[in-house]
Amino acid sequence: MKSGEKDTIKTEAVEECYENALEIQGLTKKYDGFTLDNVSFSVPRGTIMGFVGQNGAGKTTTIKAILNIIKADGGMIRILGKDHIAHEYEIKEQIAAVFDEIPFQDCFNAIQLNRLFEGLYVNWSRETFFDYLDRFNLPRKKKIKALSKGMKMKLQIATALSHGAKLLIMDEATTGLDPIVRSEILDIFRDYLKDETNSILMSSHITSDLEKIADAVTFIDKGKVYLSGYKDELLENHGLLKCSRKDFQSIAREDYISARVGDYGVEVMVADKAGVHAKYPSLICEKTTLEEIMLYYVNREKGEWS
Amino acid sequence: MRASTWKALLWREQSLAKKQMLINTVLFAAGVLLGLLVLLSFRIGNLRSLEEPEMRGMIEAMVLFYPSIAALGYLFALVEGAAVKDEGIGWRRFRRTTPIPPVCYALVNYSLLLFWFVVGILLSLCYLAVTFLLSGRTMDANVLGGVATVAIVILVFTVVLQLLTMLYHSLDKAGFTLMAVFGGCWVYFVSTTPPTEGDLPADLVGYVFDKIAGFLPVAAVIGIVTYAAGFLGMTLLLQRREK
Repeated sequence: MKSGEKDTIKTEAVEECYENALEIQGLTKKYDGFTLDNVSFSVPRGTIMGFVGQNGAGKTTTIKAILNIIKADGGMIRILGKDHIAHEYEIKEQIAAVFDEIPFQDCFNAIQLNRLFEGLYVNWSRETFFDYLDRFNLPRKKKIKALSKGMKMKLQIATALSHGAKLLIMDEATTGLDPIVRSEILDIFRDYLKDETNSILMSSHITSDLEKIADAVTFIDKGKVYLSGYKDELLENHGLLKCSRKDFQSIAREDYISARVGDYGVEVMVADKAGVHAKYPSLICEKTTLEEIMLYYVNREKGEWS
Repeated sequence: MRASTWKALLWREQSLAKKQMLINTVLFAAGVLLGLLVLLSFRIGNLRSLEEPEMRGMIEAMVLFYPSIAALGYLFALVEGAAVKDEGIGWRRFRRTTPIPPVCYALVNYSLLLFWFVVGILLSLCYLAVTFLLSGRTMDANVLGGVATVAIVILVFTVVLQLLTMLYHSLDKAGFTLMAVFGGCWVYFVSTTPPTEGDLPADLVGYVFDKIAGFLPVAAVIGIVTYAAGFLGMTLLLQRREK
């Protein structure tokens, strides 16, 4: 057998041996006033995972730990089936990170970025990169400082997608962009996910974007993951119960996440729509959204809020 | 490290420092031009009539040393170009997402420092060779030693400045700290050195080169140690994770 054939088979074998593109177990990081507390979740291969939480919830800290930008105090992180520290540089050849601000010096243009990235990544494809530039209508010779925020983000995404990354990690990448650009970016991700070995972890607090594109969602608040699973299941299981204050008094505390008490009634978030419907057949449970789920979970400690 | 990585990172650092390098080239060229004009004037122009040997020596020393130091300004241009620009944006964070180990980034940076150190010395020597010819002097071992000593001091400054910039994330703060430390050392040196008695020597230029060249062995040791420690320090700073 030729060495090239051996390498191909070996690579395929490695690719086949992981189910989750990203696996985090018990991730802990302590700061003064904030603790990332025993965070665990997985991004199944071929899916896009929305990583949702309000500002300061711990999303960026988690992403920094995944990328080994900060040292975790505890826990295990596996990326593409490998330990993220033991195989750090091998893994980083196959992942890409996109941040909320473009991290390249603004005196460069796209052609110069191509020159730099050809040296950074073994699998860098200038054809793919320039195809993305054409697709995004990005000028090749215009300096980064002269680009709009949306163009900068698209340029960053183009660089992230041009070296055959198997996992794309995005930290608030669509925040601050207008709906048109956000929509274009979501289309790019759909294309990227047509290759079923590609996966995305997308941190955002814009839940409407995730509602459109995510396969799975992980909610984090105050450093703790309180919900993680497939989006459709979460939306199917959760429901918003609208009732009067009198009806609300009859609902047991363990049956709901939290309740928003208004002037004309109470909206109650429940995690087991079918179970609640069986227990309280007279109450009508409506469909809910990721944003509402996040909102009610964030207020879960209060129980009732307005 | 792959050859393409090496080339790309070298290109990046050079590109970032391009503007500062250009400014330095203008300053160096201006210094050279001025120096040559002054020395020509000493031979065939108005300055030929200048009779005070002290004043003549001082002017000659200035026009000889300024371009020699400017030739090594390329080292500062590297710090101002790459190190400072990297601090202003998210490159430091992004760099940690690339498959290139920190030691490669440090290796590229220190290779460039060494390259411009050698270029600086060569430019200095070329300039001095021409000016010495014009002023009727001869290039002796003390001149070479003097140039090498000055170059090493500038290299040490650059290495420390770069590390401090990375540590403080600010060139201003790094520069101030460096000036405070080296200024303190200078004051200590001056205050502990017995004053030279009598007038300035007749051959001020020769005297200064002789004096500086005397420090070459010490400077060489300090230079090598600083360069090696700087490389190690930079690698560690690049490896250092955020808090």
